[in-house]
Amino acid sequence: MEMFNAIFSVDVFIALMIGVCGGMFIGAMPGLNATMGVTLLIPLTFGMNPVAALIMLTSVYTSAVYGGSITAILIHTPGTPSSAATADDGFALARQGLGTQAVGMSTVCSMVGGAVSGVALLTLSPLLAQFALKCNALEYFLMGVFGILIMGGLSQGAELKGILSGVLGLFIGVIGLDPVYGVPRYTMGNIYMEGGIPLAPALIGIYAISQVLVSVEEMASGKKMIFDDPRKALDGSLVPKWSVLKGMTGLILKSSLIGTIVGIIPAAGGNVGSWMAYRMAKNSSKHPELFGKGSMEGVAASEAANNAVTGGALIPLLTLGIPGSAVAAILLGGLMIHGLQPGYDLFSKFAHITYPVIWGFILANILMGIIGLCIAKQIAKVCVVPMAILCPIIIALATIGSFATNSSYFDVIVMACGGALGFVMRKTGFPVAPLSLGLCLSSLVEANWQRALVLSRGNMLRYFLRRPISIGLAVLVVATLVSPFVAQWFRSQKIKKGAE
Amino acid sequence: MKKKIHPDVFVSAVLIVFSGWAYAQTYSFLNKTSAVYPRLCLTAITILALMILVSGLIKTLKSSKQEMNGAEKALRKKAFVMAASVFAIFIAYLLVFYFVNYFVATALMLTALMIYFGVRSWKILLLVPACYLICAYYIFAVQLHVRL
Repeated sequence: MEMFNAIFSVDVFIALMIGVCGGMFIGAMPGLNATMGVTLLIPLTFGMNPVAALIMLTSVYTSAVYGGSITAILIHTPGTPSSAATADDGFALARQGLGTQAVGMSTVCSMVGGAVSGVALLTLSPLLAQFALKCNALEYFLMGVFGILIMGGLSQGAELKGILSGVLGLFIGVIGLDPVYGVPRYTMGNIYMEGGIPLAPALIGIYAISQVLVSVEEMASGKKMIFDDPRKALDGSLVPKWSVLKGMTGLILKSSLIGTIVGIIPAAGGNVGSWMAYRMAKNSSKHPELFGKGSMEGVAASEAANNAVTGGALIPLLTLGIPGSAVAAILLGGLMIHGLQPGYDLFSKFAHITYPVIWGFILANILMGIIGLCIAKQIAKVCVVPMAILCPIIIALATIGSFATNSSYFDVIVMACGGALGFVMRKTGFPVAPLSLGLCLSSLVEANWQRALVLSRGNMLRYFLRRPISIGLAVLVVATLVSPFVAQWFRSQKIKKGAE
Repeated sequence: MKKKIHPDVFVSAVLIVFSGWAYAQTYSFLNKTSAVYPRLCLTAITILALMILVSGLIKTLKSSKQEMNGAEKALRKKAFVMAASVFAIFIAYLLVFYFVNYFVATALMLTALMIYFGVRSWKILLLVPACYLICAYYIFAVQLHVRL
């Protein structure tokens, strides 16, 4: 009862609606994505109660993934990377005059996928949290390292750069006072640096400002994001026919499960989930020849899966502190800013916050579907906002968002430096997601490392060998370190075979 | 044919030099134990940067790409100049924010950037800053009590 009172209180409900509607618009705008939306909104949540704040952020996450499908279908420009699998078939359907049906199908499937993953989050998380109870400082240290290596190692073709980016994030987190001994490190005698690098402004700079600079470069090559009005493709009712939905029930549920499982795997992301479900749908379809040329099954599978990834990604985040996606890494920052640490405590001591957030997430997906069916035509309007107007607004939002954290100009400087660093990294092929994760996890990783050293009483090897979970995690860490070389070897073998 | 050195070589060289400097700084920490973790990170960064350097050198030697033609160079230069100009305007914006206030700085920045990007409609040049500043004032100054 308390939980329902928490969800249906005025401030929480308003946050939920802002998250759902705002996320859809953010996701629909090419140039913005869920990562930027969540990053820019984090400062707004400081004054909110944790339940309202986290519900808003998770709602933006799931709604932005759905919003990206609208532009993917109407103008063949996925608003978010997760909607890339939808773009080909969705746009082909729109050209055949079936754009309305495609958007309607995408809306319903996104709602089902997100809700299924929300139920998985509700049922699996407490079980995984029990497992987290058996973990100690050494396991948490290894999990942090594993999470960063996984996220870095999955940057296809740039695994080494991804891992280096993650370790760089860990190092940047060192700036400030030692968490155990209080010794200043790399502060250059500056009193503001002793507080460490503030998380929210750094993330805003790394994602939002760098994206603006990347978009400016695209504008230089003529990409102004001015399109013909896509609303013209949305005549008629968006609600899919029951007979069509009934025939696709199995496909939608299977795709939702695929997305949830993929979401649980750290760093796999929405695009991996949607492409896996798309391939599954194609392999099991009676008309595989339609895929890529306008298949409603393709749209249904990819959209159910990419929204299911959102809930799946929250499972390892809330229980083990390992984000399942780049956006989940930002949400980790949001959790920490509100004084919450992932692990068993979230489901015991802070259960009065966690469970309303999970139910709020499920409700957000249902509302997203209902509201999406009502306002998809309006959401399509955002496609015509030119980058010439969008980029300056993002800069203004990023600045005020960074300043609002502590009313400190130092945070604005950190944001600017983060923007420069993020831009340079993107231009040189270094992924920024591992950097942001390293930054979020740095203090946790180091503190747990120091604690493990104390608990080992001078004999770390013996302490390590007595803990089977640590051994398992260490094996995973080594496997992740070795995997870029194995992947490189397989790629070179494939190229050799292709040449033969 | 003149081979172009792969950018990874420069980036990894910079990272190795930075790691060396940062490692030297750890000797000035007041507590030796506090230096362990940063040294671990820097060692990992150095090893990874060396691997990327070697990979970059191999890519340079194997590369059969010729230098870009004139049009590609000009476009790349234009893109870089535009991004650099926007960043310079961004820094100027932050300075005006520091010495004056957020609202004046933002009004100037929004207008300046839109003009730079080619927006010429006076309605948009007036309406966009006005609408944004009203929303920002209400949300941040009134609701969140942020002193701007």
